Amino acid sequence: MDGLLQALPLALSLEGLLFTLIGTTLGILVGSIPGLSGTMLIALSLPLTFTMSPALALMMLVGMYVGSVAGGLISATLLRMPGTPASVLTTLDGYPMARAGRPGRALALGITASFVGGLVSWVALILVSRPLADFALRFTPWDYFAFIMVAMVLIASLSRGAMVKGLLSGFLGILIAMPGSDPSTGMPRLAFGNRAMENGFDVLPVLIGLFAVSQIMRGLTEHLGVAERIEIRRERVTLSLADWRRHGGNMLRSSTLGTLIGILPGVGANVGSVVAYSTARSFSKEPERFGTGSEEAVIASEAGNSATVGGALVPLVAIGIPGSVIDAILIGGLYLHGIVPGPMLFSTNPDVVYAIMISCLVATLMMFVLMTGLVRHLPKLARVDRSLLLPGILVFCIVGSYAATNRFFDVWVMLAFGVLGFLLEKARVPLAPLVIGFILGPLAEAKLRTGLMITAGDPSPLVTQPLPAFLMGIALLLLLWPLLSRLLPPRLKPGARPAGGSGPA
Amino acid sequence: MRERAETVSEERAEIAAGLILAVIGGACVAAAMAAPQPGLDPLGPGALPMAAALIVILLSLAMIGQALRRKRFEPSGSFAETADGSAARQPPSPLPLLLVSLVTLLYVAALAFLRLPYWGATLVFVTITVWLLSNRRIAALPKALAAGVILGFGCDYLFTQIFIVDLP
Repeated sequence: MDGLLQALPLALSLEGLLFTLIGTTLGILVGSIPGLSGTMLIALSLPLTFTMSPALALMMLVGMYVGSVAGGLISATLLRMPGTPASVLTTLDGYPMARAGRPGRALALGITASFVGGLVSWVALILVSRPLADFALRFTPWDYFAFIMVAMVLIASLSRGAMVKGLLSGFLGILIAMPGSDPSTGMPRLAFGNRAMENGFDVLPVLIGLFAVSQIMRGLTEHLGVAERIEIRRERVTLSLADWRRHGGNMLRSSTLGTLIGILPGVGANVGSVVAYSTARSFSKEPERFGTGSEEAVIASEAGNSATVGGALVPLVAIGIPGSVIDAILIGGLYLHGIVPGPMLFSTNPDVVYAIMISCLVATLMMFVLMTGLVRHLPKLARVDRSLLLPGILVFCIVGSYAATNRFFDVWVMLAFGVLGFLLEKARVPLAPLVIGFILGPLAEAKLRTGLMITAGDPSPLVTQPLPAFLMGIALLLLLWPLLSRLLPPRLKPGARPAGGSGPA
Repeated sequence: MRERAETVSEERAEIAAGLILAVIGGACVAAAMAAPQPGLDPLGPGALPMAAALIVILLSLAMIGQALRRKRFEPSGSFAETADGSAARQPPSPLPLLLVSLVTLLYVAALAFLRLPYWGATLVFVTITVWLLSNRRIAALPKALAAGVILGFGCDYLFTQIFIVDLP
């Protein structure tokens, strides 16, 4: 609590509030434009933070994170185009509500649910992070390695039902992190005779290529459907006391679920939204209305996806393991500023940790005010001329990649990873495991090799020590789950849904 | 029918991506084999890259296998026609992607090898790209030029004076 109070002056200074406001506003704007994403925004903004203090940089980036996840609600509801993947389920019920003449109502529910989700997850962030970090200080290298393996397998196993592709993406990420100097001996490896490769791939060009350039390439090859645009006239976009009484339970339940999902390493807002939506349908007295314009559904989806933000920050600040793709990029940002994430962060950089925590709350409050105030104008952004937008983003990508090291090698690397990301997305290979593997691969290698040095090459602690054995057991179970699930009786199988329900499981 | 066309496109992309990743994995295995032997460190610098590369190769081949198996078991048919025989909506043309990719490569190469001033190269790049994305209409040229001027000079000022970032 002392650290939190010490960080307040910076977080609530004019500068701190201004950067959080800029981040949140940009996040909402990007989140509400279909085809752009928070991941892209944060990857592109990293180079701009070089000259900022790490705490201010993180405050701006967290603002972007909060704003972009919530901003997807606007175009999902009014244009039937989810601004972010996390708001896909909001589209199923928000758009029918808007078409039925209740766009303001749908947005009021969504914005308020996002706000409550943000608050609940912030409470978890404050309460859980420090104890978890203290616990993680006792981790042995084997514990850490096993933890990273669980994170990798978990995110791969959630990859749109295609575990082979998820695992391929994760191991490709680890492989991409390998070129450069060997962490133990300092000898170059996988450099292919190229001097520039002896330093390995820098984080920024890889992230910008995968998340910005590939998205531009996709934007150049797809038609964006034009849905009927719905205007909000003089409707209220706030909730009454009766609404709070009626929907409060669903909001809290969905927010709690989103927070718990967010805390799981590697799992993002999309899954939080799906789990909260499915659970709300199970609890609902009118499950048949889900998918046709249900108020409960909009609340569940938005509370669930926004709550993952604070939840996902828990493993990031406590143990240095990303809770989602954006958190992986934030970890990349910490490295760029010379900060090593992990349980020691509370001791080495308390200003950064508590700035992240406070900005998460401030950005949630700002998001609520901004979205409520700007909701009538934000849908116009979806009509931005893409012939102007895409070249502008491309220019930023090139400067951003070059700026980190002043080497054109990094610009070529960025373009190559853009093509790779585009091809992988065409093949429906998820990019999230790749990024998590790329960020966590070196850490996993360092811990494994340290562990092997301690035990003179004996890997048995992975199965003989309780925590690593438990974690590796979970990883194994997740890997074998596709086979095991076939043995379950039909009513217990994943995807089995109660009669009368509709929408995704 | 459109879904079927998308599935075929996904299968092709899976096979292409699988082949490329298998080749990358093969190159990494070869490079890892050339790494020095372990000394005091039980694993040495080459062991983990080799393990990761081998797993990438195996999973790439598995993805190719899955794509080929789906291709074998799905009914063949013409994707250009819908069930009632009318022409289906054509997929987007790859031409804008190819043109913009070419212009981008030329832009980066010009910055890297010709040492052109950043604002000038960016002005030309943005003008051409905006015009290409506006269906190459003459009427779009003023808009493209305006975007080029704003982004060329604007980025130069923004990055060098405000964000203090080195430009190419």
